[in-house]
Amino acid sequence: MTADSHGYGIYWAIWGVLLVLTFMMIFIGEANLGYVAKAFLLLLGAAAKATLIIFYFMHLRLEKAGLAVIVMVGIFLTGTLMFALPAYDGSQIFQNLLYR
Amino acid sequence: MNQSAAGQVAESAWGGGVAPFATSWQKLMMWIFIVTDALLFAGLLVGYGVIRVANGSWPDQSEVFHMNFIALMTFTLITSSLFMASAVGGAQAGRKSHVTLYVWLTILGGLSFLGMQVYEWSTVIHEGARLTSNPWGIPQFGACFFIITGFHGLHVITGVTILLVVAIRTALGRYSAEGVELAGLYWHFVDLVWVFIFAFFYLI
Repeated sequence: MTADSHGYGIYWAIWGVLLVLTFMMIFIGEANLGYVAKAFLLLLGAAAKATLIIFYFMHLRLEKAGLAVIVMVGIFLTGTLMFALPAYDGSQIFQNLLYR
Repeated sequence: MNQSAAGQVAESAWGGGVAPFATSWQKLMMWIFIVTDALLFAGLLVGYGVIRVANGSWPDQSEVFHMNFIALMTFTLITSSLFMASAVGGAQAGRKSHVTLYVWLTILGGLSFLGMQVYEWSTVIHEGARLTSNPWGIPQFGACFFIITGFHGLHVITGVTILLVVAIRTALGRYSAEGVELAGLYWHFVDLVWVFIFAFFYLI
């Protein structure tokens, strides 16, 4: 890693995009959307910000593809599974509370 | 298997010959640590998610927190990440003055974030929030808030400490580009975690 990391311009550009995404997420958070739509859009925004931070600020794009795969699979796939499975469990608990 | 054949096997398995992924063991271990630490926070957020869904209702965050203030905290952390990335770039270019400047700016960002978190905690505690109770109706709300933001705050404190060591080593002329980069990886991870806390705890 070092190829294009000596100029700071790219960091300022990514910083700008992160700020725009943050403002968009705040706007979505306060918008009168359905709960599922809001959660989906905010998850999408968080994933986009995380990807930018990992690949540009943490320079994962300059590492070997194998390392990038391990990191991305480790963080996102496992993270998603950990969210998806308990979310189903939680919704069942909620249903039981509603109809008992 | 002769040495050449062994080298080819290593190349095909790791994509880096004798060094896995053509990177140092320190950086590889830092990445693995980051993945495992991310799972810690994923676990905390999953616990929060289950509690929230199982409760059915949840306090309106905009009534509990000042969202402009939380946005300012987010801005501070993202900006500190920009400074940290610049410090890494400076270290790789051999510009000691840039490393010094940007590492101290990153530390300043981290301390500002911590100061704001102390203010936020003080405000919420002053309003009656505790680990097991709070004035907003759902008892688990306080526990989720203190545990999730508390764990993140501890990571910020650790990051600032690491950066202070980097700053001192830089002042003594004993820094290495990789040392700055490793500290940077940790600091960006702290920012990364906040992205998800901000989205899931404050906005949804």
